[in-house]
Amino acid sequence: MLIPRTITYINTIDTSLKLVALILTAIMFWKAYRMYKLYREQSLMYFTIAFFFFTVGNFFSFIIDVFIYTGIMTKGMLFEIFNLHPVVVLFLAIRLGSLLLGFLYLFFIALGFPKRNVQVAIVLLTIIAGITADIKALFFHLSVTVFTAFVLYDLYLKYKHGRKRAQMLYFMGMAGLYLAYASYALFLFFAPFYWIGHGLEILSYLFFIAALYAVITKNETKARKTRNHT
Amino acid sequence: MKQKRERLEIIHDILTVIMRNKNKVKPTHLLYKSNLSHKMMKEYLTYLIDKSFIDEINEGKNTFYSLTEQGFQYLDKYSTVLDFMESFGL
Repeated sequence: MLIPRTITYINTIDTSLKLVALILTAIMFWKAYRMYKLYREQSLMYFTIAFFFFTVGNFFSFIIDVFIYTGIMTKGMLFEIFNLHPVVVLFLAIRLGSLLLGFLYLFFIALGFPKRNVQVAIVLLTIIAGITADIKALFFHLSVTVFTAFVLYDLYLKYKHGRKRAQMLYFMGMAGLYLAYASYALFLFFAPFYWIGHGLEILSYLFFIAALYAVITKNETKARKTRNHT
Repeated sequence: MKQKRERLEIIHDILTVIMRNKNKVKPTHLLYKSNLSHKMMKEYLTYLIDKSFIDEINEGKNTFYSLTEQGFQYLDKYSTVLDFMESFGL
């Protein structure tokens, strides 16, 4: 039975948060891509690919919401239509698959770049997981939680070594993402975790941008000093 | 990819040597500091002049090299990238 739901301000907030996530990841992707063009290092390439996938995933996340909340469908209808409408199923699979691939590439960096055939096998499994994921995507959220845990541990070791402000900000952002995806996984059991996850995810991306800003401003100051000296 | 990166590193090294010598360096000093063969260094210098990263200054019998504004900008961007990579655990 269909349970139609009208468009409320909650839907608007939900969609707006997804738009913010899309913009923030797109900024990160663009900056990383510009840097990769200048310095063609493998780890930088993987980082750029990861943020490309995050941007694609967040784009489809936003598009699905726009598709749902612009009056074509209501959320109640969604549950009926999800298994029937091929476009929605395709968009959802692309969204989950892209986000998972993004985390996977960060995971590869943390692992220290495994062999190419191992990478291909993991990527294929990830794509299958994305395509076969159900609406609630429990497998997806758990996989991301595991990936981010590895990444987090690797970043912690690097932070201990370097102790830079930007490193700390990026670490905090990744910790936020870890908690966000753990919250999404728990949302199946307790609905408010969905909003906690959303808040944490946006906060994480903001930490990433803050880390990027810290790097850029620090180097601009350094460059100014050097030029004055020269 | 690795070859390309090495090339970028050499370019960075040459530009850094010029900058650290108060933005004015003789070719002999550059050759000694950059650890390249004479032929290789000449190729790099030609490339950098073509790209407007450095200027060749002739003062009497002596030739000097100095960074242009673009050269300074390149060095700034390069150090930003290295810092970015370190900060983001890459």
